[in-house]
Amino acid sequence: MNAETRSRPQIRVAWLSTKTAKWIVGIVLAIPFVLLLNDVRIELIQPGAGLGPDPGEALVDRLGTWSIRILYLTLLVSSVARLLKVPVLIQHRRTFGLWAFTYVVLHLAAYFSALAGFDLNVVLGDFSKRPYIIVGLVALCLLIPLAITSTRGWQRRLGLNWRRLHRIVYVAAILALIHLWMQEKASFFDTFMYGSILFLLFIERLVGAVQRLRRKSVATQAAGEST
Amino acid sequence: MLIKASREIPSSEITPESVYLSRRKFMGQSASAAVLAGLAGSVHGLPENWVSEQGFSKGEPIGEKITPEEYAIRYNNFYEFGTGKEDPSKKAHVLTTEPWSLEVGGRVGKPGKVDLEDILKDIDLEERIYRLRCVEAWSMVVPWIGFPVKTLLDRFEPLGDAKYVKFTTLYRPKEMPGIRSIFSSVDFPYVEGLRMDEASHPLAIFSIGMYGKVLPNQNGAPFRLVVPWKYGFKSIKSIVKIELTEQQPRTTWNKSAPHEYGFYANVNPTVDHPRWSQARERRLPTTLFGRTIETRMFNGYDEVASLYEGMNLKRSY
Repeated sequence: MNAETRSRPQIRVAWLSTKTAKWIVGIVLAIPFVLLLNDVRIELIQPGAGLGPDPGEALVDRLGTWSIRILYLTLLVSSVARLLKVPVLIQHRRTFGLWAFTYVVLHLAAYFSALAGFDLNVVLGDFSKRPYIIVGLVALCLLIPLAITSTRGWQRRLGLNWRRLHRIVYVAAILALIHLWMQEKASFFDTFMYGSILFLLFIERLVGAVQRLRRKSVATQAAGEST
Repeated sequence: MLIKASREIPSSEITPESVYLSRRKFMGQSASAAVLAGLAGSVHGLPENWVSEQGFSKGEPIGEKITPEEYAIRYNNFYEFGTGKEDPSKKAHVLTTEPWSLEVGGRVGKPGKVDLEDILKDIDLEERIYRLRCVEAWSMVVPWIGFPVKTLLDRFEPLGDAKYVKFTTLYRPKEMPGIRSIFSSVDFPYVEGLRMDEASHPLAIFSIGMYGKVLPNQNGAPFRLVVPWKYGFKSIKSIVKIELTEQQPRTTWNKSAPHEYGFYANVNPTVDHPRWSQARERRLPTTLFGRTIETRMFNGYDEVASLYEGMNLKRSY
């Protein structure tokens, strides 16, 4: 790849790395939360109007759905950046990731309050009866260190280990899928859909890794020949 | 003729849901029965006010709040129309329920196919206010209108060796988008079953209406089973076939996940679903931070306990 073809798209997408672009991404990702908050407001004024007959379940469910969506979108960011050759997009991964984490935490908070009623006995009972909750909880715990170390400072401090640490996100993504699958009753549509997305993301990364390896070996070969 | 002939209605004539719902609201506000009778009507099948014209004996109150109708007709499990709770209320309006005939066969003296209108011709309708407990741990209180299962079965003269009753739901992919889904792990047509003595219990009814009106399609129009002491999935909807058998029928949910859904499926707070506890239930509509209530054995219908004497209900769940 020569310098000219690489610089051209970067000029066109330069605004993507601006603060404004980051704010826009952050606000867009907050929209589902704001809409949900509005439904909760309506629900509290007029029961049944905002979240339906089973509002607790609906709240937890909707937050869960957005958690997995934004988590997978986070993984999609780097794929899209590679496929479209727009590396600046990767700068937005943190915003996606932190919002995904926020939705996951809200999802758990909604479960504790609206479904379990802050009753520790109910929670402990659920943990033994409902293994899918444990799977979800493990996924959340895995995301905590990633959220903490998402800052530039931690990125610098950890160096190469930062990348290794953040590979945990793939484990969390798989656990999220299992968490979803374990709750399916009669239709595997959601599991199939999210499973396919995750599968494609893995394929893209695998192809990328193979290409990098090949390039590396070509480079070392070339280096060997020149000496 | 009891049942008015349906006419084909172009989709352009079907009232959009928003208009329909606002009309419903208006209807709720106008308490006058005369206004109601004038406006009521369904796209297919029996006119909405057919039940009140026919007349029925009022149900005994059970001292528990009846679930508002708007929830009972909007929050449904009817997988033939999709797995979302609101899918049936959005998609079931296209179901043609008229004409409707019922095939009765198997171990009966007089098998045959009968039109629903002939069945209903000389049947006394009664209202029954029942708790409905879903296996998913939510519950409602619904005023059904129908008649005992036994009343109908007796007409076909069950033979002595009939041990079970097998019920089958309509299978019509054209009108049932849920059946067409390739992601479904459930076998259609939907099949449910009861032991003969369970079906003959006076609490077990066939329902054709609720809330003083004919059943909405999403609630199993035009003809469904209601067995209040069992989890909701046993109360099969839109029945087209009844067979009396010697062998226990293979029922849909039991086939799909035998360790999760038993043949008996009696409401039982001491036997948990493998994925969740059955000890408590959410009585709908709940408020956002509402408390759950305790689930009762046989859903509170202790009079059926004698049917299961000597049985281990932990094993025969």
